[in-house]
Amino acid sequence: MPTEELAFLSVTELAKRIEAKKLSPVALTQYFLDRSEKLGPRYNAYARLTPEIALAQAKIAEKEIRSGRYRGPLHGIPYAAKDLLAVKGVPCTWGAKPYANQVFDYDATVIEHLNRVGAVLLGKAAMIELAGGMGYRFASASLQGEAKNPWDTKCWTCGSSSGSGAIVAAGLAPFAIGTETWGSILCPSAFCGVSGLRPTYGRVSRYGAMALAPSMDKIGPLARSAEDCARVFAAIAGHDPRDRSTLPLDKAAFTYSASLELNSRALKIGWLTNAWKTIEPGVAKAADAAEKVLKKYFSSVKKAALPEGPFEDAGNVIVAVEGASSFRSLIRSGRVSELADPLGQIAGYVNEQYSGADYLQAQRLREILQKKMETLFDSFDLLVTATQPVAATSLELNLETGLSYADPLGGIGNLCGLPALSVPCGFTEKNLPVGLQFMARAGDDIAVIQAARIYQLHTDWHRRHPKIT
Amino acid sequence: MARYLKRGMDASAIKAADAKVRETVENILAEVEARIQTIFGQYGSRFSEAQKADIRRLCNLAQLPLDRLRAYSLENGDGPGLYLKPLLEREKNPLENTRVGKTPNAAAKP
Repeated sequence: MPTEELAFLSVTELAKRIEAKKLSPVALTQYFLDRSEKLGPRYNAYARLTPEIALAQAKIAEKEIRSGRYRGPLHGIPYAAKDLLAVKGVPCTWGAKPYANQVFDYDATVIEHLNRVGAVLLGKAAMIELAGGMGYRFASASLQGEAKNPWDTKCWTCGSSSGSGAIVAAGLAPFAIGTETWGSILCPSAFCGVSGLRPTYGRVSRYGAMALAPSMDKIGPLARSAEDCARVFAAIAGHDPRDRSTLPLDKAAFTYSASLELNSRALKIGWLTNAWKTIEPGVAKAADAAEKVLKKYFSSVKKAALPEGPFEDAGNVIVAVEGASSFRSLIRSGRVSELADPLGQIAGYVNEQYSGADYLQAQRLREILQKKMETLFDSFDLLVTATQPVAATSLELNLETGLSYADPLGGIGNLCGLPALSVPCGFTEKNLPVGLQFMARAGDDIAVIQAARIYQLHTDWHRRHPKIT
Repeated sequence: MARYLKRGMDASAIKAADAKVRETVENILAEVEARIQTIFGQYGSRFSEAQKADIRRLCNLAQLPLDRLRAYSLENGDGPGLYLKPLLEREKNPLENTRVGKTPNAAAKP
């Protein structure tokens, strides 16, 4: 088998070969370890590799599968976890110098879940320091340095799940775990040309994950397809008494069946007309083409508009205040000055100054917004638009000015804890990927998966990958 | 724009409107400055002059969104966001969702 083919096979395709005993989990793991060791530094993709853990897990998987104990589609599949998820005995840097030597003596719930289904941890993915919790101005805001986009190494991957995006795009692992408080799964997915799922708030436990804004933090997969995202999501979703914000058992758990999901219902699509004030021409062209595909394969595609109001402002206040609270000791000790980014070194001091009344005003506005979105979802199952109005930006760009466009979609989606899935939908004239975002009502993760799956059944953008030599 | 809006107003009304605008602007500037001075008072020795200028800029930038947020009209009964709801629901009836026979992901199906 050509090596590049193996690198870019989906979880679903790899699982078939593993289950049929045509592919050895140990060989597969060694292959991805070698590839990650060789190519990872090129993209600053990993915080560290965990070869001992990986090979031990792969050997167990292989033994179990040989003896007929196949655990399911992630059994023997290698993956990377964002370096803010605790793995027992392995440094967990949160992408930031003040935490460079931090080690936990337990596994995050997500890691436990992935262990349980037999997945193989290749390593910890690089990330923006503190997931951007103290703000950042440059792509280099990371202990691991700037994450380089496999489609063009002069461009950024987006953040904060920057390493997770690079790893999947470069074929260093079949999937990676990322997190999103605001844009950190969807943006890297779009910039890197991979599929990424931001689950409904509360469906995936954050126990053992770094807290940034606890009322908005979510964990989800980046992978080669919507179907792969669904398979990983099914493994990591679930109620967890150790994270009291997780939903009750029946609302948190997710079971996935490819055939059931595709035939489950006719979806009503709302094509958003006011998500972005301006869209880069190359992105607009790809998004327009995607809209035509949707019109062909979905019975109802109508124009829709997001509610207007200072919702993005509310989201910014909530993230700022909760972030200042999460990192209070870092700010007050002055160790925030050890962060790499000039904005990260000072923004925490500013964020500490918001008043309680302003924070609560933002939370009350959130309630109004949630009701407005519930009403909008009475007319539509899904809201769809370009994931970002631009393609991957230059590594040198000052993000504070160059990526400062209004993002009501990200604000609304994250304030309301709505599930969203970004899939590749084309390329710009510079051959940079463009993402298409599907967003649904809270709890209706199956709708975004179903819609993205249907889209990917009729397109092949998700099968494209950068040429890597 | 302001001149256009003031057309037809008598002199005393214009004066009162101008005073109100001035007072609002002064209050905003005072609030921003108070915030800056609190930071500098507590942590000033930690910052370079360039960082102090940056903090001043950030505090000024934060004010407009804050004013937009505050201007949004809310009723007394509008409570905080629904993100607290799952916890409350579970605490009211913790066993409700553990009954045998409930299909996982039922909420996601039509």
